[in-house]
Amino acid sequence: MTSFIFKEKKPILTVHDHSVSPDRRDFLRSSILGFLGSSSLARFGSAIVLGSGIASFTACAPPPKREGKKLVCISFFLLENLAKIIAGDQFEIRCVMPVGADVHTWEPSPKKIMEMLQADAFLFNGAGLETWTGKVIPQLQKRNIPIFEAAKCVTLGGTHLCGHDHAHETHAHENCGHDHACGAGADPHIWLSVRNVKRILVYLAEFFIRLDPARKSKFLANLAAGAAECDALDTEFQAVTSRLENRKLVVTHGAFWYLCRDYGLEQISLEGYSPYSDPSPAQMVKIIDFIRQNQLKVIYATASESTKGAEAAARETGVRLAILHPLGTLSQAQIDSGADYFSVMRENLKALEND
Amino acid sequence: MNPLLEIFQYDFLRSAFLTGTLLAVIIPCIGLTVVLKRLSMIGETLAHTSLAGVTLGLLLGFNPTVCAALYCVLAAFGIELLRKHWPQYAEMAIALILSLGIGLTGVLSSFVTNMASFQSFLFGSLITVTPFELKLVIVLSIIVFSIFLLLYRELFYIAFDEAAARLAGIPVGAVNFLFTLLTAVTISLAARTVGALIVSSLLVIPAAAAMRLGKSYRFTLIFAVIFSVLTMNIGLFVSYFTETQPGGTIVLLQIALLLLILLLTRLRK
Repeated sequence: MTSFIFKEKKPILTVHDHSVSPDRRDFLRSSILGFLGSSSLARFGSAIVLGSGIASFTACAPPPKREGKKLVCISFFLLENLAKIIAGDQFEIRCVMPVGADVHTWEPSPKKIMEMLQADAFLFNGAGLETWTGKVIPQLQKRNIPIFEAAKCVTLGGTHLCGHDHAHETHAHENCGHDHACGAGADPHIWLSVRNVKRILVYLAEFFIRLDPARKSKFLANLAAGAAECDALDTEFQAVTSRLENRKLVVTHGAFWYLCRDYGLEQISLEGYSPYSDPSPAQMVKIIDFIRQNQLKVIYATASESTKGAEAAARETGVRLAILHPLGTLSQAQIDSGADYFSVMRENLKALEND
Repeated sequence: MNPLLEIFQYDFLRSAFLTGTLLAVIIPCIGLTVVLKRLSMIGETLAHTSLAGVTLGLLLGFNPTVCAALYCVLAAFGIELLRKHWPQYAEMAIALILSLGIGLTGVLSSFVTNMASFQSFLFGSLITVTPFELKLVIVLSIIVFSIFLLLYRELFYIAFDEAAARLAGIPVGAVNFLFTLLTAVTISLAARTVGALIVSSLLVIPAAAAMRLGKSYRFTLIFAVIFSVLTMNIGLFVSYFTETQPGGTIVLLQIALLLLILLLTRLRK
């Protein structure tokens, strides 16, 4: 926990609702803190009090009124999962990205953009994960639709390197615009830290209460349950990772920086290997030599991506290939079997445990 | 150890050299005929349209590799059929089939709910050739090479002038059918194994270089094969020592050598 450094946060939400005055906001915040009570959450809470300057858009045009529940549009699967933890069935929550789409490359259709423009709120991850939001957010802002950016809730870090070869992807990724991935930006996979997720839940609850103050007690009850589940998972991870002899995690996609930070592990990504690229022989040799020198027993491939490169390295060295799920997207089969954030993270934990 | 031999202690590099060399022999054999028939772009086209086959396979629950090969065969026959409608513009048939394939992939892929399987059927790489793929390439090479030798005279006639070939008593329809089938299967399997870039350039660049050097059909063919085997192997070595992508390195080397040949033949005149 001590690794969190609370910096001055930029506004995490924009509010257009006249009924929420600054005083009322403080009241909301202190009531969240009062309700939660637990010391670790109080520390999160104090971060909100100290850090978040909340910008207030005092514009006049309210979003189109809808009968019944408010509509919340969400950029990708995981955040939908988190939003449902807090909102339950109090909101109509709609994930704009379809099941199975690649979070790095998907782009909304005009119809999806229309849908987002009619929502009462929009939630996205940020930190460069969904490159398409750059085009949509100015339009949402013009309509004063409250926007929640999960990446603003946590301390960003790590790098996200990948060797995407754009020459080979003209068919599927014309609009990929991978500025985040090919440079040295922060790792956008913030949700792979349970501690980050807990923070996001707190901010989400605050955001939802502002959106619909009448349902505050429901949101707070859900937050308490979600936060407790996060704590339980965190404890399980601590128990397993503290026993790991090998502190080096060889992964095909460097998505696990936050997870490694939380538990003092080191992530070594098979840099230059990516499902889209043609790996260079020299890089493969380096990877193979590294596996041999460190006597590693397992390479972690990323579910939802091709594992060809990792398979080649595993064949050569005779090490086991295990799957870590980055949770950027779930397949239909996983959804049908009722998988959610916690169940998939526990699968990841099991993969680590068998190391 | 000699650094040049050092790299052969890795299985994956041995597979890369073997796979690369085999393909470097058979693809230019097909390539010369393809170029002479004005179908140079068929490699890129079939490699990309086979994605439609992958998507269909995933949607219908059939083996995507088989579906891709089948779709490639259909697309190749589509090109054969269409090019007869515009005899002077064979490349137009290729553009039409390419558009159809990519359009179909674009529409169908939005129904695919498991991107992992989709991506693993996209283009391969010389570096990640599996033992199964290597066996597949060996079998394919034997089949393609023997059919090519058997039909050597027939293909030679047809490549230059279909009408004259028909007059010479060659069963043009049957030979074309077999050749189209062979081309489609080779391109789709090779693209899945080593990537579309290597396949489409092996099809054209060696033939282009050899056409500047060879005075006869036979010598042009031999030059093309020597050119492609040489650039394939040197390119793989270079890509190891310069830490660059093998596909790109091999293609750049081929283009450089092609330019050198153009320059030399120019000077000799």
